[in-house]
Amino acid sequence: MNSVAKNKTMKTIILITVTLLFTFISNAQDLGKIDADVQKQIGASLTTYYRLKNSLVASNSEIASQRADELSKTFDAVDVSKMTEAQKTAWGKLEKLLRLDAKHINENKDLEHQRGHFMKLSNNMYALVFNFKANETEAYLQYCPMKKASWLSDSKDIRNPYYGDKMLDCGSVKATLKKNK
Amino acid sequence: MKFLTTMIFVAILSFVVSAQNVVRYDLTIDHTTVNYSGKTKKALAINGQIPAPTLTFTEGDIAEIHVKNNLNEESSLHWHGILLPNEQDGVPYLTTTPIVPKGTHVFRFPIRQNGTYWYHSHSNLQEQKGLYGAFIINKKDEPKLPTYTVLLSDWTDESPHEVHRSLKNANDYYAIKKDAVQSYGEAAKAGAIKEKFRQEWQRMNAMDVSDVYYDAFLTNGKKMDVQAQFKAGEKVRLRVINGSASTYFWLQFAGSHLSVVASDGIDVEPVEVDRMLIAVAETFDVIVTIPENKQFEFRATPEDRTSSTSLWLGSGEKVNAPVLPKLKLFEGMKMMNDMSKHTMKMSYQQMDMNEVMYEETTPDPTKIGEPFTPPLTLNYAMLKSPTSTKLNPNAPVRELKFRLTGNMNRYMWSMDDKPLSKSDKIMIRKGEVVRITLYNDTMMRHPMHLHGHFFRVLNGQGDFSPLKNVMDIMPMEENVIEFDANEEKDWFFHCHILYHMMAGMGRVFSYENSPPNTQIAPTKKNWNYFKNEDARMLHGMFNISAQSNGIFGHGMLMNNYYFGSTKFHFNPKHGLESENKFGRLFGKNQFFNAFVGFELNREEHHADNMWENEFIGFAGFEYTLPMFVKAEGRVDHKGRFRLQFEREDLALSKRLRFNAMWNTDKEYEIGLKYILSKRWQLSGNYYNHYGFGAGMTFNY
Repeated sequence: MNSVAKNKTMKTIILITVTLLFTFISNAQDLGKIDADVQKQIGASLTTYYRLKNSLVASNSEIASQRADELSKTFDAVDVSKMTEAQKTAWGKLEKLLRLDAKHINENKDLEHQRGHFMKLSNNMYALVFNFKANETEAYLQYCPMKKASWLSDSKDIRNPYYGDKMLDCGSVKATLKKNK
Repeated sequence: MKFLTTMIFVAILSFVVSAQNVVRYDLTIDHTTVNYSGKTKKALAINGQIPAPTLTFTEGDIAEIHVKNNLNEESSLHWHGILLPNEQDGVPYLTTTPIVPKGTHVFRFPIRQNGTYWYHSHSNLQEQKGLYGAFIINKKDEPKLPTYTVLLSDWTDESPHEVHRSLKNANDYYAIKKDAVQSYGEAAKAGAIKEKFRQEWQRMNAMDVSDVYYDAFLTNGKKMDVQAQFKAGEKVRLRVINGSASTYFWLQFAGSHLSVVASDGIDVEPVEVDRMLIAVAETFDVIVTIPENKQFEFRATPEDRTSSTSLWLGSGEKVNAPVLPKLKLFEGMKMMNDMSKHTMKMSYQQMDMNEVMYEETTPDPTKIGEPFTPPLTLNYAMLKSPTSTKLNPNAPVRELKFRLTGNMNRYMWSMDDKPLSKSDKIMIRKGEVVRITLYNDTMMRHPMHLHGHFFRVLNGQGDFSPLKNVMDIMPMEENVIEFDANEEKDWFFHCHILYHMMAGMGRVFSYENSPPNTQIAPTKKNWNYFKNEDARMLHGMFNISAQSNGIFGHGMLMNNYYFGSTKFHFNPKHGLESENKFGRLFGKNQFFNAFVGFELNREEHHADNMWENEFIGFAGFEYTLPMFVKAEGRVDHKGRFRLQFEREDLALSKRLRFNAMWNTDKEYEIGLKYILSKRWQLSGNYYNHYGFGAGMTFNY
């Protein structure tokens, strides 16, 4: 009888899951259609950002410095001519801030300094990816209640970039960005 | 010279005379009715008011308070946070004579402190029904600052005894009302189905940050209070008191930072924050600034964020405080599932694990390019006394350690796994420093309150550690407090969540070689009567289903350790079967119980169409397995063994519950219930002896 019970439970769960997935509401706030090339270019920035994040998880300030430089270079490759006016304005604001924090991480190899700027960089990176729908795979906004800071990750698992080994799995997923299609 | 001496003498004399100023209040406790939810409900009031009248004194006064009890039950009033002679503390059967029905009691004590305090009934659950008020003591040289008292409270239309019974029976109707069931369906939606299984595998119930559903939250007895007289640029000191039975509140102000200047009546170095959480029974003095000629919201949001209550300051266009988004309960579930992995030491609210459930701590991505910092929240490590609070370094130190413990499933709350009824008085000696290390081994916060003393919270501020009489302790935190044992007789130390206190989460500190209390003789009889309140409580429940395939019933009566239960089903063709048990629960989580009982069955004898009665005596045990599957083994008087597995109330959706049972007598049952209201459910099941059926269930 247990198996019958389990089957019934599973069926109900599947039914509920399917219903709920269909009623999932997408976010209405929008910059309009994003050019596919722009999405790809910003997607490349996100990939580099993940590498930067991983170097901070590993507490490697040398690599972090390099990755920050690489991140700035990915911004050079973003083709502004393929953006609408609204997109250009948004990009303009974010690019300026992102470059500033990337520069700091690149130039000063003190880990605490780098992590301080990574905090701001992550908030703007989140806005960038969110508004330009630039993630090709699901992206997760994660949050550390101890540092009171967020970061983006391509995995649900927590690998905290703010403390290194001490607090590796401290944090939680706060938001999920569905992959762009 | 002589003249000068005379002048000084006269000055001192007049000072002494003015210090002997007797301030008298007459209070009458009586029934009243209120309407906070659209329905008129019974409540309790003092002088017809909820909250009770604000009692105002000046340091140095003598308080004389005449209390008349017009109820048909005993009552009491406790002066919370006030330093006073033991007999004036107002804890019935421990320090003070209970005020009998229609009786009067006079309290008289000198006021030797200043600040924001409160008072409330200390008799059973009366506080929840309205017996609380502000107790304000002005300094002799109170700074000239506009001041307003903000007394927060929670209101339920139910009787508090019904609330307590529902909590004891783990009825999840409050979770439905609060949208906090965390069913499998909702878990699937949130992508947390694995976490839900993990949680139930670990035999943990769905957790929320609060237990009770409240119909209203109140500021000075109103859902909304308005004080329009304040103008742009004015600073206002709010004396905020949390007089709730079980609600923590987030405090936010729309116009400025909150400048915290006192905690539990005692001044602290001013500290500016964006928001703060006030624990049950705490008080904070907070200075806010009205920035312009508009009306600004001072909002108190219960920790579970189900609704809020506000005070509006100033006049003009309304400016709202930020709305706190709903809690992400499944993130909280994941955190709790993972908690056992974390070994880090947390203390003094510095790391709020609940933050994983707060949306407002991460940036809003639509606000492009705007800088974001999470709101600055007050924690205990930020509190610092303006003067040294160092205790006598030569005093002997008595080190005490307590684990705060509980069993959410049975709603039992205790210290070191023992409720008050199983404890003895903790003996201390006058002149020593009592240092208490508290570890919270439960999943809930506990506001621990000490009567008649202030303790230092050893929060890292050294000699300037702040003084408090309530300390909130979060899950998994270890906090240390210490106090100067400078009193005599017996003082209560307990969790101030009313339903936790009533479940026995408390201890009594007793001074050795004290003169006897003049109102409550320190006899074994009085002590037993006082401490056994949690043990005396009996909780009953029953449900009965009338379905097309028969009638099914279940009833239970239990206290902390024993239970009596009956289960029966009836169908005209098969007759009546009933199973009656008496048992005892064991273990910290009470996952194990042993029982004796009997079955009384009346069924048709197939051979000759005769009805016959059958009696079966049995004994056995039951153990709760992972996923809350109850495994029961029993042997009856004929030597037959039966093994049974049962799972009840598995939440498929917010209101849909599943249950299943199977045993070695080849009986099995599966069923579904849809919860319509606290009392009524639609139910349907398949029981292999009766077949399919559907109908209604009444649940008490």
